[in-house]
Amino acid sequence: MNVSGILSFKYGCFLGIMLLFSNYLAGQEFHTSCSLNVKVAVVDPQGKPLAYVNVGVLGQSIGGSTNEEGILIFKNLCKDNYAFQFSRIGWGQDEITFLIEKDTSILMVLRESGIMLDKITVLGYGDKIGKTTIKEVLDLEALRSTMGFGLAESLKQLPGVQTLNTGASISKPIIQGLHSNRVLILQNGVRQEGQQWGSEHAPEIDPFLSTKIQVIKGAGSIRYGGDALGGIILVEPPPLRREKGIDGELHLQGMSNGKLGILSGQINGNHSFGNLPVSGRIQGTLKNGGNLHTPDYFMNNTGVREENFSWMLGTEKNNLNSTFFYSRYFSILGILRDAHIGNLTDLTNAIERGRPLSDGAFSREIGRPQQQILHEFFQWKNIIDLQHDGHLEINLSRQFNRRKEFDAHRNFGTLPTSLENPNILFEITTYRGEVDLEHNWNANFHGHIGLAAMQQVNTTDRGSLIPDYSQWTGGVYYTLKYKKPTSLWEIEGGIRYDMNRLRIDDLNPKLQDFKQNQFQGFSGTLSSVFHLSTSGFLVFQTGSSWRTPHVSELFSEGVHHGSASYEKGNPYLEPERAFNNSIHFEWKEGKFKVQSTAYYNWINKYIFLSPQREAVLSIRGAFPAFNYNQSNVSIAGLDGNMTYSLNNHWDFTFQAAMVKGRNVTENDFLIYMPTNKVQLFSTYYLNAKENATHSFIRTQLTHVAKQGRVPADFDYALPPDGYFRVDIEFLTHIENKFFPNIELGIALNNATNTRYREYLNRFRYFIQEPGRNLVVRLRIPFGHS
Amino acid sequence: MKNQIFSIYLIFTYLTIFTLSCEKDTTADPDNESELITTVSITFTPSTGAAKSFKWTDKDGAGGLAPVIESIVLASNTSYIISTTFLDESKSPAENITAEIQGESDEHLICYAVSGSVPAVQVTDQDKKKNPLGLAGTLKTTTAGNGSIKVSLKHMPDKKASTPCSTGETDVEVTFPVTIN
Repeated sequence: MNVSGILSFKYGCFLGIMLLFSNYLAGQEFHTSCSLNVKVAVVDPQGKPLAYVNVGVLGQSIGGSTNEEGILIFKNLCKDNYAFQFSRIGWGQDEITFLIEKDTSILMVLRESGIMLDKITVLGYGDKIGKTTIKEVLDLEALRSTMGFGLAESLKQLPGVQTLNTGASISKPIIQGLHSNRVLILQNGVRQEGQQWGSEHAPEIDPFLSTKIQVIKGAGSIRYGGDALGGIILVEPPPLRREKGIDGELHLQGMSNGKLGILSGQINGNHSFGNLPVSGRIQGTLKNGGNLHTPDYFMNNTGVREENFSWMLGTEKNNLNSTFFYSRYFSILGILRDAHIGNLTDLTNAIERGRPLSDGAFSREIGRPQQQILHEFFQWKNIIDLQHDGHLEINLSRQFNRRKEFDAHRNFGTLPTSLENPNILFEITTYRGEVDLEHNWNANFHGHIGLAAMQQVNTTDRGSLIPDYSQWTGGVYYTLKYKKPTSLWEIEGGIRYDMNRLRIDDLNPKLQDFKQNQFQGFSGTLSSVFHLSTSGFLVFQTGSSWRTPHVSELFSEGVHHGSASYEKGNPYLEPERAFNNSIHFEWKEGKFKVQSTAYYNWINKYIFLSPQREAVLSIRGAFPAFNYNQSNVSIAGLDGNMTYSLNNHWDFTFQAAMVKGRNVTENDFLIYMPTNKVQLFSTYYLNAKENATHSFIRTQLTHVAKQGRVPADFDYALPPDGYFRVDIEFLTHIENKFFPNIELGIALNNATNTRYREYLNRFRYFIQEPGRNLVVRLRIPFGHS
Repeated sequence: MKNQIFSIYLIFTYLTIFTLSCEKDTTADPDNESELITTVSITFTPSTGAAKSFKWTDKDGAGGLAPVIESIVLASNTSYIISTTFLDESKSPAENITAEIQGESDEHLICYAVSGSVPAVQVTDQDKKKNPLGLAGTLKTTTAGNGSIKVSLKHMPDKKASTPCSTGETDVEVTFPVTIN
């Protein structure tokens, strides 16, 4: 042993096991200058890498956090004694001293001594996404308590995310006032390609397959696409098991509203075949719910079914990590019968009534109208570790999405009972290939260079809302991060070029000139971090991104029965371009923790549906007409939260968000912008919150204001009044001999059974939001080594 | 050992290929709305004299070409018997849909809303359940003047409601200008 370890445990929070490898780089000679490298890898007792462990050196301003692989590399160290400090939010801290005299690799095993992650959000560090990328991570406990409600509802807990809903079953995330095509969702690093343009098309991802959901904005995000005007949502499955054995978990959930039941589980395993380790996972979710009820009545035909399945298989050998990932999402969603209307007269009648004709009854049957969505995803991902030079990642994927929509429309006669002939059927198949090279130029410069290509075919087999099309896109990007350990500044910049070739098939003969379309452009970002002190920092971000108009915006034509409007595409649309600027602030000192983001985004040629003076006349009556149009708009907002930990038992968090959208060209407000929202969370821990088997009772008070910033003469009804909602959650951990850490959660959502309507629910004209809901959930982890 | 690994990869690869389904839908039924209404024809039969028919036609559906709307011309101080028919003229020969409405009479209601000098329409026919239907009616003009008649076809209305015409889903809603000489 060339390295001697002097162990000095100060607090005893960690139960660490040190494994020192002195042959980190074979053939390295003894160094006399300050050029030693130390690789620190942190794992948990199961061998899973631990990210977000802060590692610093006592008395020196070097260090950082472990990345997704649990790794942090120190470069250019001199031959000396180093006291490494390890800390993790909620876990306390500890330190250990080593004599470093040659390149060294340290494997640190940390045992959990407290809760997994911090309460609300963690602004992350890490190698792949630096601090220069503003990043909000959904805390695991918060994620688990909301997974049963779908991806968007889970994300809603972050201060900067709201949702756009269609009834109670369809929910889409809104980031900084933007949604649909302006928000990218990535599953295990690959862009989700479905029919995300539609405001009633929810993301096709099972939240149960993930343990980490985060929203990112800024320089590091350019790697994933130049068209994320609002932001990027990363949904990541947990890493595969790395040590021999089997583990898994089972989720059981029941909800009183809709009598919804969820069964979800996964099994992870690892086995070595000869000297080749193979890891695998099989995961699946079943969901079944019936009609939901508001405080006053049932909502007919609002049941839901979900059958999801995924597997992952991977191996690691020498410097190569290769993974196959397959996921299949299938859901059947009932659409509120009363929201399916024939024409404007029906809409006016429905709005006047403000509620369904009858009180309805509970039923699990899902009739028309309904949606059936299938999304299949297959990925082959390879990561080649180039040692201290960085990583090379090659990512190949195929996605297939089939969306069937069944109307409740028939001019006469009874509706067909079979669901063999959907009124709308879209099928979209996407192939993607991506190569990313992470390169460490030297200790201070760290870059990513990469390219991405996509081929996509969309067919509209039923209905005529959008034409068939094929699309080819290609992009190249380069990002560079400067971070000098002694500097108070960190800077990261990125530039990306994208091109898009779009061919429209079966186009209206009048539009033959628009058969071939080509768009291209640059996007770029610049972010810098300024460390105010060890307890706080500021992030300044500026950037520009652009988005090609979607086929639906260019060529859609037809009546939209959810809103009784006639929507017409505009083939003359040009790409829209956003200029994003933001300041992010974070401070943690003693019992206080604050984080806040202020942003101002300007979008040139923002594409939106503009109301037309002349209604379209048809045999069904007059339909208000909307054409896709472009304007210059500005969207400004402020969101953040503040946590005060009174003592070991009490935590208080205040969270608020506001967004203001202006159509600058027309000097009016933008429609469907999120309303001002304030929330207060009070958490009482029955035992010490650092305890791994902690229990708490949390009360969440939410106040949503009435939306006053609405465009004139744009909407069918005035925005609904503001509301106040109370949610109560109890969480505890049960230990027993066979299952060491069962998590039991009991929540009462909308505890006071408040009658309210949400401005951002497209069905607010017809129905109230759901009433009281009792949720009971169990998570049973198990393992065998 | 190598074979074992290879077979696991193979199993999972096949699993994927078989579950990735991508068959193209071959049934050529692009619109599925195989039965639509393009034309509303309303016939006025006076107590003496010849019957007159007026049509409201939109053969290509919403958007596209504007509908063709005939103006109703009636005589003052005259009793008329009204009969309304619904046609699909996008097909050749045109299909008469009135009989199908008659067949599902309890699920349909034809409503007449009038304005200006046009007197109200009295519905005279009944559905299977002895509730009003509206394919037939009467109208008695008094003074000369102008106005309009709005004809709506409601699907699945609540005929027991206080205002049945504001329930159900509207399949047809057309407005004829009316001149009473």
